[in-house]
Amino acid sequence: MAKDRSSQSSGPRKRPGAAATGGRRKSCFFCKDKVDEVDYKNINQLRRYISEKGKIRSRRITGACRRHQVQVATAVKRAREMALLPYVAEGREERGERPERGRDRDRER
Amino acid sequence: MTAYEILLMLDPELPEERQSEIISRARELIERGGGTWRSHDPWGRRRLAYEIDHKAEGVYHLIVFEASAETLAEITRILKITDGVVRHLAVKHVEGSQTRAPREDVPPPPREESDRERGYAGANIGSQEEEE
Repeated sequence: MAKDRSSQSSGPRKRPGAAATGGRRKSCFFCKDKVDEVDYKNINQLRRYISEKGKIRSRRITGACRRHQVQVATAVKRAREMALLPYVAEGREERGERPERGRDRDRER
Repeated sequence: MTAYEILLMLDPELPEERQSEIISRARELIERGGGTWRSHDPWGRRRLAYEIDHKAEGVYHLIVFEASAETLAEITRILKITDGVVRHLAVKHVEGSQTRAPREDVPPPPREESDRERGYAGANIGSQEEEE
């Protein structure tokens, strides 16, 4: 995972193995692609910005810049309204039984 | 004049001719209001992300046009009271944005970018868990 991008990392890895992303700056996909406006119709793209449960992923996770994260949020909400994306998704079926409360399980993916 | 687009979701049980009637009514309204019709993309039947009125499908149509704000308000008003229109969404049209139906449940094409992006997401989550 993410090994091939060492050229981008700002320095040597602090901890090999687990998470090699220490201080690496996340770059915004939309900026790279020169997208002016995030489109609510492009649901396959938006899928990457929502969790399995359907929640909008935070900028910390997506790495999007402020401008585009705001646009992503709006786009996801528009898509939800038109039933293109779910408001709530159950995730995978076998996860149906409720995990003990506490940590937000949604973050896992 | 501003370019707008409206995504319509119609009742899947609506007969074809009623659907085209709704579309042509919108077109008429636009042209009467001095606007111009640009395009109409029937997306067809799509599975909804959640049930609406106990229906799991909807028929989508995307129309793009130029019109004044007043005309748009009028169209929106009409659509709201039209039976058979389950949902509609009017937004400013971004020039050059896709109007075709997004493919459904097809994972993003295995182009380089999408892979990279997924890699990022995974990597970033890793970092988050590390922080906590």
